[in-house]
Amino acid sequence: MARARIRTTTAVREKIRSLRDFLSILFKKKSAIAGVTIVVFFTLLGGLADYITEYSYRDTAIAADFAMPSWAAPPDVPRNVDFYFKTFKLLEKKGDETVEVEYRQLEEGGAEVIITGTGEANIVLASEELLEYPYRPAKSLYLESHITAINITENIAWYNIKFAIENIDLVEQNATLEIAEGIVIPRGFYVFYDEIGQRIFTLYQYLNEPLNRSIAATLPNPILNRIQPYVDIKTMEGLIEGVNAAKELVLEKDTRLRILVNITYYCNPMDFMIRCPENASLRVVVKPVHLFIKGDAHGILGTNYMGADVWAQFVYGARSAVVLGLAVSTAIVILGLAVGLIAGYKLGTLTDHALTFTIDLVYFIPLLPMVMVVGIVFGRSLYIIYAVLILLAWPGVARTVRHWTSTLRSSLYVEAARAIGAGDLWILTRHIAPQVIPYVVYSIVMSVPGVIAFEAGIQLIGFGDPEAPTWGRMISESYWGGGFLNNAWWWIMPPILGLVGISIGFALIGLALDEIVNPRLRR
Amino acid sequence: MSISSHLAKLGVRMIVTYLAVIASYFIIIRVLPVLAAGGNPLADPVIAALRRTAEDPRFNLWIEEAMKRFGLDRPLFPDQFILYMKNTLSFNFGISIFTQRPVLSEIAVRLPYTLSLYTILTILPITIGYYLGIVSAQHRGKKLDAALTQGAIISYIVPSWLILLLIYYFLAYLPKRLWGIYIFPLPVKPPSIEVADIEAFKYLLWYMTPLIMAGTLAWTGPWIYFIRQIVISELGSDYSMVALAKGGAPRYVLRKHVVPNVRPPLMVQLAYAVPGIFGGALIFEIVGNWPGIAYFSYQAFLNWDFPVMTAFFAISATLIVVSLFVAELLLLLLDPKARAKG
Repeated sequence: MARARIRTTTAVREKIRSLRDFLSILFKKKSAIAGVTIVVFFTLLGGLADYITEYSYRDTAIAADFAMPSWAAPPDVPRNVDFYFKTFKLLEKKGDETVEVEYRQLEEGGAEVIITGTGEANIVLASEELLEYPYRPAKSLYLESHITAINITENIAWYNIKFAIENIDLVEQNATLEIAEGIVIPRGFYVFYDEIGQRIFTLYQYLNEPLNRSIAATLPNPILNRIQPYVDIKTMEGLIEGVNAAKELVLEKDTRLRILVNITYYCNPMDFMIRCPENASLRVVVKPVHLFIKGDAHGILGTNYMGADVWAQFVYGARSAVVLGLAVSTAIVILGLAVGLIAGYKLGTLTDHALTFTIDLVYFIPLLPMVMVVGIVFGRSLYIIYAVLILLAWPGVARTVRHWTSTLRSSLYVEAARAIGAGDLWILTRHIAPQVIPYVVYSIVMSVPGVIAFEAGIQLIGFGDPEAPTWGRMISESYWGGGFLNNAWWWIMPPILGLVGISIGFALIGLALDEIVNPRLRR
Repeated sequence: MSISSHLAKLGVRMIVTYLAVIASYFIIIRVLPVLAAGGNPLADPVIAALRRTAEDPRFNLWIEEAMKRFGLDRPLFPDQFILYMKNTLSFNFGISIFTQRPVLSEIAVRLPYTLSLYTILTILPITIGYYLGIVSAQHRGKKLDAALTQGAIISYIVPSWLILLLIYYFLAYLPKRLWGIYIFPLPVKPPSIEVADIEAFKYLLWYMTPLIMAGTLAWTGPWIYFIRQIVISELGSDYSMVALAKGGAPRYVLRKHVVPNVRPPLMVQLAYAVPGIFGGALIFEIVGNWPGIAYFSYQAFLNWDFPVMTAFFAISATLIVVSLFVAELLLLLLDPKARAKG
C-alpha cells in the first residue's frame, strides 16, 4: 500500500529530534493544514455521532422509502407526522341493564373499562382530534394501538374489540365510493384492528389467556383494512388496493379524525357453548393510539430504500472510517515494522531468510480472492475482512523497513552501542526503531484511504458485512438497492463524497510527510 | 559475482518461492475449508459444489465419478496434495465443476475481453503518465505542477470502481432520468468482441468507453507521480548539476541526461504491472459488468469451482514469477549500477 521510496540522510534525522519539531515542520505546509482540517472534521462528525443524530444507523422505516432531504423538497411534500390519540370518552353504551359499565380516563392517556354482570353490551369509546396536516396526501399511514383485556373471574365472558379510524367530515356527509360494479363502500371509515378476526383461529388460546397485545397496521392493507365488516372479504381482496386510506383520511388539510374502540361483551350463564358465571367481569385497558404518517421528505439527508436515515448512516460511517481506517492501517504497519526490523537487523541469517521468504509468499496471495474464500468459509464479518487485510497487506512496509534497518545496523552509533554492551532488543527499540518513526507515520497515514476503499469494494462485490456501519455499505446498497435508478442523489453522493474527502485529507497529510521524510524531494 | 551466477541464484529462489506459493494455495482453498467443516463432508465446499451441479438431471449420477476424478475420496495428505501439485504444475486443470467445460477453454473465451480492455488500460495510463510526469517535474513549484500532483494524488486514492460508478451515475442514469437519453449504456448487456460486424463493434466501443475513461482516470495518477519523483530526484543529482553548470539548456539536459535514467525504473514498474492484466480489476469488472477473467474467477469463487480457482491462482502466480524475473533481468541489462553491484 505505501509505496514510498525512502532515503534518509543524517541531516533529516538531526532536524527531527522531537515530536514538536516534526509537527512544526509539518504545519509549515498548506496542504498538511488542509489535510488535518479535513480529517479533524470527519473525526468530529464521527465522534459526535451520538449527539448530532437522533437515529441509529440500524433504524429503518423512519420515513417513507427514498424520502428526499427536507430542505430540498417543496413545502407541500409530506413530512413525518407523529400523533397520539390520548383522551378517550365514552361515546355510546348499548345493551342490557344487568350489565354494569365502569369507565375511567387514565392519567397517562388512554382509558380503562370494567364490565361486570350477565347479558350483552356494546360500548364505544371515541377519541376525536384535529390533525394539523399541511401537506398533500401521503402514500401510507401507520397506526399502532395497544389493548389489554383481562377476565377478572376465572370463567370468561365472550368479547370482541374493534379499532376503527374515521374521517368525521366524510362520515357525516354519508359519502360513498364505488370501487367496482355494484360494490359501494362508505368513505372515510377504516377498521384497522378487529380482535375477533385476528383470534378466530386461535380461539382457545385467547379464551384461556388474558389478551395483551400491540397492534400495528399500515393502511392501506388489503387484509387488515376491511372497510366494513359486512362486506365479504373475498370480494374485497384486490379491489381494496385501489383505495388509499391515507389519502381518504387526511383528505383536507387539517382534518377531524376519530378513533373508535368498539367493545362487544356477551355473558349468558345459560349458554352451553361459552360458559360464563354470573359474576363475570372483563377489564379492558386501551392505551393511546399512535398515528404515524411517513413523510416523503425527511431530515438532513433523506432516507434510503429501507426508510433508514441517511444522515445517521453517514455520520456513523465517518466514525468507522476514521477509527477502523486508522486502527487497521496501524496494525498493518506495526506488523510490517516488526517483521522488517527483525529481518533487517538479522540480515543474512536464517531468520532473515525465513522472514524474507514469508514476505515473498504473502505477496503472492491475492487479497480479494482471499477475502472471498474466507468469507465463504467463515462468514461475512467486518472483523474477518480486516483480519485478512492485516495479514496480507504488511509485506510492503516490511520490505522497506528491512532495507532501512539493514543500512542502519552497520552505522557507527549502532556499532558504538553494541561495543558498550547493548543487547539486540535494546538496539532495535532504542536506536533503530526511532529512526523509522517518520516513515511509519507516513505509511499509516497513506494506508488509511486504501483501507477504507478496500472495505467499500468488498461491500460492492457482496462479501462485506451486511450490518457494518460503513460508507462502503451505503455505496453498495445505493448501487444495488435502486438508488441509482431512483436518482436518490441524497443517498448516493454523501458516502462517495465522504470516502473521497477523507481519502484526500489523509493523502494531503501523507504528501507533506513524504517531503519531510524524503529529503530528495525538498528544495 | 557475474550476471549468470546472479541470475541462476535468482532463478532458484524464484522456483522455490513458486513451489511454496502453489502449495500454500492448496492450504488456503482446500485444507482451510476442510478444517472449517470439521469432518462433515457435506460442509466441504467442493463436495457441496459437486452436489449443486448434480441437481442438473444431466449430471445426476456423476458424483462418485467426479469425486474419483478430483481425488476427493482419498485423504488430503499426501494423495490429494500430490494430485493437486501434479495437475497445477503441469497446467492440467481439468474440467470446471460449474460449467462442465475444460477450464483452459473457459479462460480462453474470456481472454479477449480481458486483453482488449487491460491492454488499453495499461498503455494509456503509462503513456499519459510519462509525459505529464516529465511536464510536472519541469514546472516544479509552479501552478501546473501543483495541479498535476494534486490530480495524480486524487487519481491514486480514488478507486477505479468508484470513478466508474460516478461515470455511470452522471452519464447514464442521470441523463436517462432527466432527458430520456443514454450518453453511455447501462452495464446490463455486455457486448461481444467482434470487429467484422460494424454495429456490434460500435456497441463494443460505446460500452467500453466508460470503462476506459474510469480506468485511465484512476490509473494515470500513480504513473504521473512516479515519473515526476524520479525526474525530480535525477534533476537534483550531481551529473545534471554538472550538465547545467556547463551551460546546457534545461530542456536539453532533461532530454539527454535525465530521461534515459527514467526508463529503467519505468521498465521495471511495467514488468510488475503486466501480470495484473491477467487478474484484472475484480470490483471494476463487476461494476462495469465486463465478462473478463476477473469476473469469471468471481463466479468461480461464488460457486466454489475448485479447478477454476486453482487455475486462476496458478496462472496469476506464474505470470508474477515470470515478470519478477524479467524485471530483475531488465534491471541488470538497463542499469549498469545494478550490474556493478551484482
